Amino acid sequence: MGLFGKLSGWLSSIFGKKHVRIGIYGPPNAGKTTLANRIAMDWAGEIVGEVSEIPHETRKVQKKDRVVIRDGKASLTLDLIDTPGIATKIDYHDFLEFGIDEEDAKQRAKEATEGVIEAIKWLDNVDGVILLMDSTKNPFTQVNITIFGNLEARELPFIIAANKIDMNGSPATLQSAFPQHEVVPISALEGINMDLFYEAILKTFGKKGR
Amino acid sequence: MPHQCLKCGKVYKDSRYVFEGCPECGGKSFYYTKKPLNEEKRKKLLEEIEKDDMLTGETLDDIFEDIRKKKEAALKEAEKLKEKVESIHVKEAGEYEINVRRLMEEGSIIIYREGTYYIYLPSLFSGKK
Repeated sequence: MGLFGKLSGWLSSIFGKKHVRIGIYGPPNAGKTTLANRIAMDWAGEIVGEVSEIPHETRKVQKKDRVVIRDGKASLTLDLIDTPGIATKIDYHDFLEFGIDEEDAKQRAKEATEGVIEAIKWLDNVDGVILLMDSTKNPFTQVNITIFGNLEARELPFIIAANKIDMNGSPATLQSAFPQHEVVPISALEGINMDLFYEAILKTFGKKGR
Repeated sequence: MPHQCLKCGKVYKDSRYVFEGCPECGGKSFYYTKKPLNEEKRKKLLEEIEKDDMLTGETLDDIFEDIRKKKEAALKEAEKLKEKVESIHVKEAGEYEINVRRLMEEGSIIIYREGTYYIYLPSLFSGKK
Protein backbone atom coordinates (compact mmCIF):
# COMPACT_ATOMS: atom_id res chain seq x y z
CA MET A 1 0.00 0.00 0.00
CA GLY A 2 1.38 3.40 -0.96
CA LEU A 3 1.59 6.41 1.29
CA PHE A 4 -1.66 7.79 -0.08
CA GLY A 5 -3.43 4.46 0.50
CA LYS A 6 -2.20 4.35 4.11
CA LEU A 7 -3.24 7.94 4.69
CA SER A 8 -6.69 7.47 3.20
CA GLY A 9 -7.16 4.23 5.21
CA TRP A 10 -6.17 6.05 8.40
CA LEU A 11 -8.45 8.98 7.63
CA SER A 12 -11.40 6.76 6.84
CA SER A 13 -10.89 4.83 10.08
CA ILE A 14 -11.27 8.14 11.92
CA PHE A 15 -13.86 9.98 9.89
CA GLY A 16 -15.66 7.10 8.16
CA LYS A 17 -15.56 6.25 4.49
CA LYS A 18 -16.27 8.99 2.01
CA HIS A 19 -15.97 7.17 -1.29
CA VAL A 20 -17.23 3.61 -1.76
CA ARG A 21 -18.00 1.24 -4.59
CA ILE A 22 -21.43 -0.28 -4.10
CA GLY A 23 -22.89 -3.18 -6.09
CA ILE A 24 -26.62 -3.64 -6.56
CA TYR A 25 -27.34 -7.37 -6.48
CA GLY A 26 -30.44 -9.50 -6.63
CA PRO A 27 -32.52 -11.87 -8.73
CA PRO A 28 -33.67 -10.90 -12.25
CA ASN A 29 -36.52 -8.40 -12.43
CA ALA A 30 -36.17 -7.26 -8.82
CA GLY A 31 -35.69 -3.73 -10.17
CA LYS A 32 -31.91 -3.31 -9.87
CA THR A 33 -31.53 -1.04 -12.89
CA THR A 34 -34.63 0.93 -11.91
CA LEU A 35 -33.05 1.49 -8.48
CA ALA A 36 -29.66 2.41 -9.98
CA ASN A 37 -31.46 4.86 -12.27
CA ARG A 38 -33.43 6.28 -9.34
CA ILE A 39 -30.27 6.85 -7.26
CA ALA A 40 -28.35 8.31 -10.22
CA MET A 41 -31.29 10.54 -11.23
CA ASP A 42 -31.89 11.75 -7.66
CA TRP A 43 -28.26 12.72 -7.09
CA ALA A 44 -26.56 13.08 -10.48
CA GLY A 45 -29.42 13.76 -12.90
CA GLU A 46 -28.54 10.88 -15.22
CA ILE A 47 -29.67 7.31 -15.73
CA VAL A 48 -27.48 4.22 -15.61
CA GLY A 49 -29.21 1.84 -18.04
CA GLU A 50 -32.33 0.76 -19.88
CA VAL A 51 -35.02 -1.18 -18.04
CA SER A 52 -37.49 -3.73 -19.33
CA GLU A 53 -40.05 -6.16 -17.98
CA ILE A 54 -38.33 -9.00 -19.81
CA PRO A 55 -36.02 -10.79 -17.37
CA HIS A 56 -32.26 -10.46 -17.87
CA GLU A 57 -32.42 -7.09 -19.62
CA THR A 58 -29.11 -6.15 -17.94
CA ARG A 59 -26.56 -8.71 -19.09
CA LYS A 60 -23.41 -6.70 -18.50
CA VAL A 61 -22.30 -4.78 -15.44
CA GLN A 62 -23.20 -1.09 -15.76
CA LYS A 63 -21.39 1.61 -13.83
CA LYS A 64 -22.12 5.10 -12.69
CA ASP A 65 -19.21 6.75 -10.92
CA ARG A 66 -19.19 9.57 -8.44
CA VAL A 67 -22.78 9.82 -7.31
CA VAL A 68 -22.69 12.03 -4.22
CA ILE A 69 -25.38 11.40 -1.60
CA ARG A 70 -25.95 14.01 1.09
CA ASP A 71 -27.92 14.20 4.31
CA GLY A 72 -27.31 17.39 6.22
CA LYS A 73 -23.57 17.51 6.87
CA ALA A 74 -22.95 13.88 5.99
CA SER A 75 -22.05 12.98 2.43
CA LEU A 76 -20.88 9.88 0.67
CA THR A 77 -19.59 9.40 -2.87
CA LEU A 78 -20.80 6.20 -4.50
CA ASP A 79 -19.47 4.39 -7.52
CA LEU A 80 -22.61 2.46 -8.38
CA ILE A 81 -22.37 -0.97 -9.97
CA ASP A 82 -25.61 -2.24 -11.47
CA THR A 83 -25.22 -6.00 -11.96
CA PRO A 84 -27.05 -8.56 -14.10
CA GLY A 85 -29.70 -10.58 -12.23
CA ILE A 86 -28.44 -13.70 -10.48
CA ALA A 87 -30.42 -16.80 -11.36
CA THR A 88 -30.01 -20.54 -10.95
CA LYS A 89 -31.73 -21.42 -14.20
CA ILE A 90 -31.74 -19.54 -17.48
CA ASP A 91 -33.88 -21.03 -20.21
CA TYR A 92 -34.37 -19.40 -23.60
CA HIS A 93 -37.92 -20.81 -23.77
CA ASP A 94 -38.90 -18.26 -21.11
CA PHE A 95 -37.95 -15.42 -23.49
CA LEU A 96 -39.94 -16.84 -26.43
CA GLU A 97 -43.13 -15.97 -24.54
CA PHE A 98 -42.17 -12.29 -24.84
CA GLY A 99 -42.22 -12.49 -28.63
CA ILE A 100 -38.42 -12.79 -29.01
CA ASP A 101 -37.36 -15.16 -31.81
CA GLU A 102 -35.52 -18.37 -30.99
CA GLU A 103 -32.05 -17.33 -32.08
CA ASP A 104 -32.19 -14.05 -30.15
CA ALA A 105 -33.66 -15.84 -27.12
CA LYS A 106 -30.76 -18.34 -27.09
CA GLN A 107 -28.25 -15.52 -27.41
CA ARG A 108 -29.99 -13.66 -24.59
CA ALA A 109 -29.81 -16.77 -22.39
CA LYS A 110 -26.09 -17.17 -23.13
CA GLU A 111 -25.36 -13.52 -22.34
CA ALA A 112 -27.47 -13.70 -19.18
CA THR A 113 -25.45 -16.72 -17.99
CA GLU A 114 -22.20 -14.86 -18.65
CA GLY A 115 -23.77 -11.93 -16.81
CA VAL A 116 -24.31 -14.05 -13.67
CA ILE A 117 -20.61 -14.99 -13.66
CA GLU A 118 -19.58 -11.37 -14.23
CA ALA A 119 -21.84 -10.15 -11.41
CA ILE A 120 -20.38 -12.67 -8.97
CA LYS A 121 -16.79 -11.84 -9.99
CA TRP A 122 -17.49 -8.18 -9.23
CA LEU A 123 -18.20 -9.07 -5.60
CA ASP A 124 -14.42 -9.13 -5.11
CA ASN A 125 -14.27 -5.46 -6.10
CA VAL A 126 -17.03 -3.80 -4.11
CA ASP A 127 -17.00 -2.20 -0.66
CA GLY A 128 -20.64 -2.92 0.01
CA VAL A 129 -23.82 -4.32 -1.50
CA ILE A 130 -27.43 -3.29 -1.89
CA LEU A 131 -29.26 -6.62 -1.95
CA LEU A 132 -32.49 -5.91 -3.76
CA MET A 133 -35.40 -8.28 -3.40
CA ASP A 134 -38.87 -8.22 -4.87
CA SER A 135 -41.29 -7.79 -1.98
CA THR A 136 -44.13 -9.31 -4.05
CA LYS A 137 -42.29 -12.63 -4.31
CA ASN A 138 -41.40 -15.46 -1.97
CA PRO A 139 -38.08 -14.39 -0.41
CA PHE A 140 -36.90 -17.95 0.20
CA THR A 141 -35.24 -18.71 -3.05
CA GLN A 142 -31.86 -20.32 -3.54
CA VAL A 143 -30.62 -17.07 -5.06
CA ASN A 144 -31.63 -14.84 -2.15
CA ILE A 145 -30.43 -17.25 0.51
CA THR A 146 -27.13 -17.96 -1.27
CA ILE A 147 -26.32 -14.28 -1.81
CA PHE A 148 -27.31 -13.44 1.76
CA GLY A 149 -25.12 -16.21 3.22
CA ASN A 150 -22.19 -15.32 1.00
CA LEU A 151 -22.30 -11.62 1.86
CA GLU A 152 -22.28 -12.50 5.55
CA ALA A 153 -19.34 -14.87 5.04
CA ARG A 154 -17.43 -12.18 3.16
CA GLU A 155 -18.27 -9.69 5.93
CA LEU A 156 -19.32 -7.17 3.31
CA PRO A 157 -21.67 -4.51 4.65
CA PHE A 158 -25.03 -4.72 2.94
CA ILE A 159 -28.53 -3.32 2.96
CA ILE A 160 -31.57 -5.38 2.05
CA ALA A 161 -34.06 -3.30 0.10
CA ALA A 162 -37.55 -4.72 -0.37
CA ASN A 163 -38.61 -3.28 -3.70
CA LYS A 164 -41.99 -2.91 -5.40
CA ILE A 165 -43.95 -1.96 -2.28
CA ASP A 166 -46.22 -0.03 -4.68
CA MET A 167 -47.30 -3.40 -6.14
CA ASN A 168 -48.96 -4.99 -3.14
CA GLY A 169 -45.60 -6.21 -1.91
CA SER A 170 -44.99 -7.59 1.54
CA PRO A 171 -41.84 -6.08 3.08
CA ALA A 172 -42.94 -7.47 6.45
CA THR A 173 -42.50 -10.97 5.08
CA LEU A 174 -39.02 -10.09 3.88
CA GLN A 175 -38.19 -8.65 7.28
CA SER A 176 -39.38 -11.84 8.97
CA ALA A 177 -37.28 -13.83 6.50
CA PHE A 178 -34.12 -11.96 7.49
CA PRO A 179 -34.88 -10.91 11.05
CA GLN A 180 -31.28 -10.14 12.00
CA HIS A 181 -30.92 -7.62 9.21
CA GLU A 182 -32.51 -4.27 8.54
CA VAL A 183 -34.87 -4.37 5.56
CA VAL A 184 -35.75 -1.07 3.89
CA PRO A 185 -39.09 -1.15 2.06
CA ILE A 186 -38.98 0.94 -1.12
CA SER A 187 -40.46 1.49 -4.53
CA ALA A 188 -37.59 2.42 -6.84
CA LEU A 189 -40.06 3.09 -9.64
CA GLU A 190 -42.32 5.42 -7.66
CA GLY A 191 -39.58 6.80 -5.42
CA ILE A 192 -41.33 5.71 -2.22
CA ASN A 193 -39.26 5.68 1.01
CA MET A 194 -36.10 6.77 -0.78
CA ASP A 195 -35.23 9.12 2.11
CA LEU A 196 -35.09 6.14 4.46
CA PHE A 197 -33.07 4.23 1.91
CA TYR A 198 -30.48 7.00 1.52
CA GLU A 199 -30.23 7.27 5.30
CA ALA A 200 -29.51 3.54 5.45
CA ILE A 201 -26.85 3.92 2.73
CA LEU A 202 -25.08 6.68 4.67
CA LYS A 203 -25.32 4.74 7.91
CA THR A 204 -24.18 1.38 6.51
CA PHE A 205 -21.55 2.34 3.95
CA GLY A 206 -20.23 5.58 5.38
CA LYS A 207 -19.51 4.29 8.84
CA LYS A 208 -16.16 4.35 10.55
CA GLY A 209 -13.60 1.65 10.78
CA ARG A 210 -14.11 -0.40 7.63
CA MET B 1 -45.16 -3.52 -25.31
CA PRO B 2 -48.66 -4.05 -23.95
CA HIS B 3 -49.62 -5.68 -20.68
CA GLN B 4 -52.33 -8.28 -20.42
CA CYS B 5 -54.34 -8.81 -17.25
CA LEU B 6 -53.91 -12.48 -16.37
CA LYS B 7 -57.29 -12.64 -14.66
CA CYS B 8 -59.64 -11.27 -17.35
CA GLY B 9 -57.35 -11.16 -20.39
CA LYS B 10 -57.85 -7.47 -21.21
CA VAL B 11 -54.80 -5.86 -22.84
CA TYR B 12 -53.53 -2.39 -21.88
CA LYS B 13 -50.96 -0.29 -23.65
CA ASP B 14 -50.65 1.96 -20.62
CA SER B 15 -48.42 0.32 -18.02
CA ARG B 16 -49.90 2.35 -15.15
CA TYR B 17 -52.60 -0.31 -14.73
CA VAL B 18 -49.85 -2.72 -13.74
CA PHE B 19 -49.52 -0.71 -10.55
CA GLU B 20 -53.15 0.34 -10.12
CA GLY B 21 -54.68 -3.01 -10.92
CA CYS B 22 -56.97 -3.92 -13.82
CA PRO B 23 -59.89 -1.44 -14.04
CA GLU B 24 -62.13 -4.20 -15.46
CA CYS B 25 -61.67 -6.95 -12.88
CA GLY B 26 -59.23 -5.62 -10.26
CA GLY B 27 -56.60 -8.22 -11.24
CA LYS B 28 -53.10 -7.53 -9.92
CA SER B 29 -51.06 -9.84 -12.13
CA PHE B 30 -50.07 -8.73 -15.60
CA TYR B 31 -48.20 -10.34 -18.45
CA TYR B 32 -45.91 -8.30 -20.65
CA THR B 33 -46.25 -9.55 -24.21
CA LYS B 34 -46.77 -8.77 -27.86
CA LYS B 35 -48.96 -11.85 -28.24
CA PRO B 36 -51.92 -11.95 -25.82
CA LEU B 37 -52.36 -15.33 -24.14
CA ASN B 38 -55.48 -17.48 -24.30
CA GLU B 39 -57.50 -18.26 -21.19
CA GLU B 40 -55.88 -21.65 -20.62
CA LYS B 41 -52.32 -20.24 -20.67
CA ARG B 42 -53.33 -17.32 -18.43
CA LYS B 43 -54.88 -19.70 -15.91
CA LYS B 44 -51.72 -21.83 -15.89
CA LEU B 45 -49.50 -18.79 -15.38
CA LEU B 46 -51.66 -17.48 -12.55
CA GLU B 47 -51.54 -20.88 -10.85
CA GLU B 48 -47.74 -20.92 -11.20
CA ILE B 49 -47.44 -17.44 -9.71
CA GLU B 50 -49.59 -18.44 -6.75
CA LYS B 51 -47.77 -21.74 -6.30
CA ASP B 52 -44.21 -20.44 -6.59
CA ASP B 53 -44.07 -16.95 -5.31
CA MET B 54 -46.83 -16.10 -2.96
CA LEU B 55 -46.95 -16.81 0.71
CA THR B 56 -50.28 -18.30 1.63
CA GLY B 57 -52.40 -18.56 4.76
CA GLU B 58 -55.54 -17.18 6.33
CA THR B 59 -54.01 -16.09 9.62
CA LEU B 60 -50.63 -14.66 10.57
CA ASP B 61 -49.68 -18.00 12.17
CA ASP B 62 -50.46 -19.81 8.91
CA ILE B 63 -48.27 -17.34 7.01
CA PHE B 64 -45.39 -17.78 9.45
CA GLU B 65 -45.75 -21.54 9.12
CA ASP B 66 -45.62 -21.14 5.34
CA ILE B 67 -42.49 -18.98 5.70
CA ARG B 68 -40.84 -21.65 7.87
CA LYS B 69 -41.63 -24.39 5.36
CA LYS B 70 -40.39 -22.37 2.39
CA LYS B 71 -37.19 -21.46 4.22
CA GLU B 72 -36.52 -25.12 5.04
CA ALA B 73 -37.18 -26.18 1.44
CA ALA B 74 -34.86 -23.48 0.04
CA LEU B 75 -32.06 -24.41 2.46
CA LYS B 76 -32.45 -28.09 1.58
CA GLU B 77 -32.31 -27.26 -2.13
CA ALA B 78 -29.20 -25.13 -1.60
CA GLU B 79 -27.52 -27.97 0.36
CA LYS B 80 -28.07 -30.36 -2.57
CA LEU B 81 -25.98 -28.11 -4.82
CA LYS B 82 -22.91 -28.80 -2.67
CA GLU B 83 -22.72 -32.27 -4.21
CA LYS B 84 -22.48 -30.96 -7.76
CA VAL B 85 -19.01 -30.32 -9.12
CA GLU B 86 -20.07 -28.17 -12.07
CA SER B 87 -20.80 -24.48 -11.74
CA ILE B 88 -22.73 -24.39 -15.01
CA HIS B 89 -24.71 -27.18 -16.62
CA VAL B 90 -25.53 -26.60 -20.29
CA LYS B 91 -28.64 -28.69 -20.90
CA GLU B 92 -28.84 -27.48 -24.49
CA ALA B 93 -27.91 -24.28 -26.31
CA GLY B 94 -29.84 -21.55 -24.54
CA GLU B 95 -30.74 -23.62 -21.47
CA TYR B 96 -28.43 -23.29 -18.50
CA GLU B 97 -28.46 -24.32 -14.84
CA ILE B 98 -26.19 -22.21 -12.69
CA ASN B 99 -24.74 -23.34 -9.38
CA VAL B 100 -24.69 -19.88 -7.80
CA ARG B 101 -23.36 -21.23 -4.53
CA ARG B 102 -20.27 -22.82 -6.14
CA LEU B 103 -19.60 -19.69 -8.22
CA MET B 104 -19.85 -17.47 -5.17
CA GLU B 105 -17.94 -19.62 -2.73
CA GLU B 106 -15.22 -21.02 -4.95
CA GLY B 107 -15.17 -18.84 -8.04
CA SER B 108 -14.23 -21.83 -10.19
CA ILE B 109 -15.93 -22.21 -13.54
CA ILE B 110 -16.59 -25.82 -14.47
CA ILE B 111 -19.02 -26.36 -17.30
CA TYR B 112 -20.85 -29.64 -17.81
CA ARG B 113 -22.24 -30.37 -21.25
CA GLU B 114 -23.37 -33.68 -22.74
CA GLY B 115 -21.42 -35.85 -20.29
CA THR B 116 -18.20 -33.80 -20.50
CA TYR B 117 -16.75 -31.44 -17.92
CA TYR B 118 -14.89 -28.36 -19.18
CA ILE B 119 -12.66 -26.68 -16.62
CA TYR B 120 -11.79 -23.04 -17.11
CA LEU B 121 -8.32 -23.00 -15.62
CA PRO B 122 -7.86 -19.23 -15.08
CA SER B 123 -10.83 -19.36 -12.69
CA LEU B 124 -8.89 -21.83 -10.53
CA PHE B 125 -5.60 -19.95 -10.68
CA SER B 126 -6.99 -16.48 -10.04
CA GLY B 127 -4.98 -16.15 -6.82
CA LYS B 128 -7.99 -15.02 -4.78
CA LYS B 129 -8.91 -16.62 -1.47
